[in-house]
Amino acid sequence: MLATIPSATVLGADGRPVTVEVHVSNGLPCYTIVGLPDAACRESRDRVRAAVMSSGCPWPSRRVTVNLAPSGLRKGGSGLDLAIAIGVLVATGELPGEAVADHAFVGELGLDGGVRRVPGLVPMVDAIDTRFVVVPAACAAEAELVGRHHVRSASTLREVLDALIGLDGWPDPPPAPPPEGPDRSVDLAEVRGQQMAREALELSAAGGHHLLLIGPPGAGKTMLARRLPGLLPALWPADALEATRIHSAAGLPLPAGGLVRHPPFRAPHHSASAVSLIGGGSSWMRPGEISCAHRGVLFLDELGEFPVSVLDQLRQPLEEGVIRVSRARESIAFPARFLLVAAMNPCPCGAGIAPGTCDCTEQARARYARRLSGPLLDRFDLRVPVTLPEPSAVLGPPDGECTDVVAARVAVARAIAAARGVECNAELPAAELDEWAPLTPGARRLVSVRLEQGLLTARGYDRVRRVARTLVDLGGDDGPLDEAAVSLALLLRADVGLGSIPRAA
Amino acid sequence: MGTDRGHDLPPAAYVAGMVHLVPDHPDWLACLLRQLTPAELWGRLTAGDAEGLRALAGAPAPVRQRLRLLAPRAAQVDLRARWARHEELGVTVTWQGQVSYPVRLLDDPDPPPVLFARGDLGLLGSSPLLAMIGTRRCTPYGRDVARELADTLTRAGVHIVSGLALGIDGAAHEGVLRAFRASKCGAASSAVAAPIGVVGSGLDRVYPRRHRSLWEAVGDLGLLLTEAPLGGAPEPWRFPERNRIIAGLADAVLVVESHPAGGSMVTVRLAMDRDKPILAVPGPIRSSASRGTNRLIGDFATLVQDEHDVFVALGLATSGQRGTPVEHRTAPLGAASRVLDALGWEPASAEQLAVRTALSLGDVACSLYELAASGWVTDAGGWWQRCVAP
Repeated sequence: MLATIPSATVLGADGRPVTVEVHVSNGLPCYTIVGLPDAACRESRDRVRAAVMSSGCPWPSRRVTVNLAPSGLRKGGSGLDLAIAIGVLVATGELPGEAVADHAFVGELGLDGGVRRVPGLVPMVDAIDTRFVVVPAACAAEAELVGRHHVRSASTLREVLDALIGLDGWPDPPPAPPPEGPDRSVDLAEVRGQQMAREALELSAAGGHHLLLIGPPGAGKTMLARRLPGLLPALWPADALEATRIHSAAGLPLPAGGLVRHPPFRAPHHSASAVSLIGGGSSWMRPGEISCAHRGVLFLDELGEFPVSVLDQLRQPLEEGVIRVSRARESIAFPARFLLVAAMNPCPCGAGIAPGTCDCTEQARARYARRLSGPLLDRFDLRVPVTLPEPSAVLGPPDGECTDVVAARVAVARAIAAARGVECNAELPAAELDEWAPLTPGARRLVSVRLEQGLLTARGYDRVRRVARTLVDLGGDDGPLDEAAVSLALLLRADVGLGSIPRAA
Repeated sequence: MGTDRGHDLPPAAYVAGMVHLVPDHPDWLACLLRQLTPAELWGRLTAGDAEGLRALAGAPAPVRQRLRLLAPRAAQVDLRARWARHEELGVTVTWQGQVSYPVRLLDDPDPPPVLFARGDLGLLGSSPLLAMIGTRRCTPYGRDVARELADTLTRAGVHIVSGLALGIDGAAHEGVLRAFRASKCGAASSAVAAPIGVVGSGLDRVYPRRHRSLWEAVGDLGLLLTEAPLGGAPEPWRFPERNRIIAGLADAVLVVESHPAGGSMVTVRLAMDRDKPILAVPGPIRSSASRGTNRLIGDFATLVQDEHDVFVALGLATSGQRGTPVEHRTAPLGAASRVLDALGWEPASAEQLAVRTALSLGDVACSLYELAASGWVTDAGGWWQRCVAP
């Protein structure tokens, strides 16, 4: 007897549909599973057998063959247990075939017959085409997010069987906790002074421009970076679902309510390996930190401590918004469109932000500056020196704007950008800049002087226009870019600290 | 027997070979050079006549040991090839007793026995000769001042000697070269002085590497001097030695910027031992790079604010004949003028200027770029600095 049960597995950040075929025939009792299962899949034999017996059904003492189709695709994880168990029961006749028509099953089984949650449920359910999908009760809310299926959930195999036969209705899923609001634990008003850094933070949030904060230890770089996610607006529904799929595939815990509604904030430590940052892995292709930061913020603290090889691998995703990981067996593209924020010291001793204050030797400074390759540094449109705040500012009351006020302005600017057909100004294509970001005559004069002197490249000119466009949008204006905006954009793009080693002749 | 005692080699070749063997210039080398011709000295060295040489030098017994060890090494030195290399690079050798030896160093308490030179040794006979030195970790202000002063003094005919180090030395040489080249292009003015540099490594070992083009320029257009033989590495002990040569050559020493302790202070002490006047340029009291120079001015150095002070110190002019500098740049207006006033002479960031002038960051940025375009300010690494001259 043959049973065919639809299910799914996760590859990278996407789900792939899997058809579980179970064949029971006469012969010496044995159980074989084929179709490139990984170790967790192969162990399913004992789990499924114990679960079926714990649920009160007999285990066939005949020859059982399980095939996970398509056979050329590696199947990973334990999410196929439930489908295999149902397949065995259908193949032995315990369960009528019509009862499972148009149903797909995803879930891990415990030895007691319990149906347990699996990581990556959202992409798995997304890959399934049947009308009904049976998932563990704990994951019901996540499965509902996909929106295309009728979701049935249960907490034990016995409940599944009873509901399928019609003996009992499907149990109600546990009530979903209310979705949580944005993180309110940190507020921009807590930052003292730092006028330029605050403006840069606002610009970065409004236009999606990558931000580099340079300053001595204790100046407040990390503090500023952590307040950036609060300024960003909530994700659009399609982006939220994409981010949820990636987080689910990476095995990260999803927020209450299942959906990742607010831009994620990822801050990997500088000792993270290249694979954990970029994605990949030899057996199970897992999204890396940059993909988990998709549509959110990737914060690299102590940029100078990251290995140069790791930083160089960021260049492609920063340019294209996607990272292609290729292995001998397969090649997968993970989405990776994130806002990059980095913090670093200007030199090894940390104090050399102002000229003449540094105790480092020339070689030490040069060596430190070489860690950031030119092309990577060029990706940062905003480079801001963060100096130690004045004592009067530190001791006095907070005088800056709070997160809500700034976030409102950012939302307005983003809405203006949306009218141009892009999510944020950083994504404006170069060909359309002339149309969307015209210059006033005064600004044009300023730019032409810089271009003639060789202090501005053509690429730099495009970037400056995008930042200036965001500056003007933040003022609520839709008009051409004036001199003040272009000058400030140029200023914010200046090489700070690094690379200012004095040259002779 | 040494390879090639051919008599067609000039005496300088033997001296060069000797310095290559004993690069630390021991006293007995100078003594021996006074008594024997270089060819004779080389011959006796390779023959292993340690006892005889020691007696001639009047040196203590341990020297005999060293001389004996030198003999086999001397036998391996290919004098001809080494001298060919000197000629290829245009390097000449001079030593005490020669006509080409700088007259200025004859009365020095610790004169260098042998000097390697590239360029015109005769430049050292010119007068006046001013040493311009300063810290490697200088500020843009110091660099600007060094360059401008060197430029102006060179046009006035004062020869500048410096150490080709990073920072102030390099800026001084830049200023000299700028004036020198400008004079060659425009109306020929023979009063313009050529650059002079004294370095601590062999003339084929450019140090610091970033100053390669400066080396070439000074060597081609002026004079490059060193005590180290060809191939000598820029070892730390060579630099105080080089400083004493600068102090010995100069008529006066001008320190542009210096931290409280540093190589420039060593040169100042060496110059004081030789009774040379010390001049210094003051700086902002909060700038660490001016702390040394300000202290010097307080103690005994002459304060220098412009080239006129230098002329007075060198005896070329009397005080009271000061002229007013001519300003060629257009005066800034409106917000730009407020920003320029708020900038002062210390480096400041745009944020600090916004606080001082109470203007918005956009207006400050606009003014800064306007001022940069007309030559009033310059920026380095996000810090803005007022320029002495365009």
